Amino acid sequence: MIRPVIRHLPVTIAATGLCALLLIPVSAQETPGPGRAAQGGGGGTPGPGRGRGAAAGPSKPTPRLPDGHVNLGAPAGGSGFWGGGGSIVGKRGSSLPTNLDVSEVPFQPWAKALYEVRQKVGEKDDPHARCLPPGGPRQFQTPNGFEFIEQLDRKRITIIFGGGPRSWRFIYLDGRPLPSLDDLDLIPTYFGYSTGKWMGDTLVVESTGYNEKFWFHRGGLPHTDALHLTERFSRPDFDTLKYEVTVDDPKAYTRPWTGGFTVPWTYTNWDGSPGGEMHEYLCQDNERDYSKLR
Amino acid sequence: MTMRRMLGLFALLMLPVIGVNVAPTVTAQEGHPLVGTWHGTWGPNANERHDVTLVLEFDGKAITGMMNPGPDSVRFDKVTLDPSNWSVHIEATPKGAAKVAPIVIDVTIQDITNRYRSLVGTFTQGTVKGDFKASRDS
Repeated sequence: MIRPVIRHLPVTIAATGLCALLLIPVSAQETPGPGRAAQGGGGGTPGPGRGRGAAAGPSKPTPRLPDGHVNLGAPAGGSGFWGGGGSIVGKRGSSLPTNLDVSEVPFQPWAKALYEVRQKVGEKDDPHARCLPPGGPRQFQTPNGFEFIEQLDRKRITIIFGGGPRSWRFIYLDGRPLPSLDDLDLIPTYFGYSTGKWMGDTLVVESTGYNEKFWFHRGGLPHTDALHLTERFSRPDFDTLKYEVTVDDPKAYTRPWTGGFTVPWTYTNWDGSPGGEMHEYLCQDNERDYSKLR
Repeated sequence: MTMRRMLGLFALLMLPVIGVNVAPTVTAQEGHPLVGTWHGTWGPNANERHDVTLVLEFDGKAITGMMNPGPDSVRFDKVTLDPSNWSVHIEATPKGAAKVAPIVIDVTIQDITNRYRSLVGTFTQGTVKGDFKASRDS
């Protein structure tokens, strides 16, 4: 009885392996967007002054709206969007040279240990892979890009995201105060509550009211419901968005700390063809494991 | 086999499928790994089990919480977490007219990065000892 089994063992192993491959649930991963496609699999973005698909030569000057303040979006009649950015820790790729190394991040002990475990297990439990929205800096790290739409009449900026579950975020510029974390009616959300104002050529945005259902940064830097972000957006030239964020979360970090990255303007579609339009990508389309969503 | 029996058999076969699809899902909680509500059982042996609910909070410095919220809740005197091995030590003193021995629970957080993580370990209350297991609920 044993001999036939042994004789067919290689075939059995191969068949079992093939079945296992076919049965592995495919978690929702993002398709390579312009960031990855243009760079052969990711790992940083072009430096300042070089948009994706841009014509040769130096970048055009920073575009402005009729009232003179910086336009973070496409100019009237134009197209294009911002591709995915880098990391707020470390100095590789498009990360800012002033960033802390991850070993310098002032973690609380539990947050450091949790971050290290998440790294050790290959970020296998990243909520973003289950199509949950990416709040905080993470929203600018997805490879499918994002756009700013400034609605002057409504005194707010809407940011739409091409990655993850195709979500959006409002930044109110009408002077309203941020909600208090002590407000019992405050419902914590993925993108928090954001108010902003222009300080010279920099949009300064304060946000709070985050839930704890997502990772606010690719890689799994922990945060809690006490997270308060101060983001600074500027556009030093047409092709470059500079993003800088101060992370203040006393439950996860012993003191506030700052990091950021630059993001390139993208002139092309996701497949490299001319156009500069964000393509339709929906995380859930790729989700084969939807019974475990949330 | 009559149509009614066939339908009955079909319904019986479908029960596990329906059960899987309506099973409660756990909402992600990616902050401090102890924060939230945990449900489970504890007891001196496999036959004598008691339901238990833990509610844990973290204010940035201390972990606080209670057991079995409600009229008979027991607030924890002390909760400590050792992130080097994810061990948790809990001490509580039940209140009431009768003198009840303090409770000591020593557990470890299992599968720490998973939203389905659990607390597994032992408890001691006076001369009673046993095992403790609870899974994160929300």
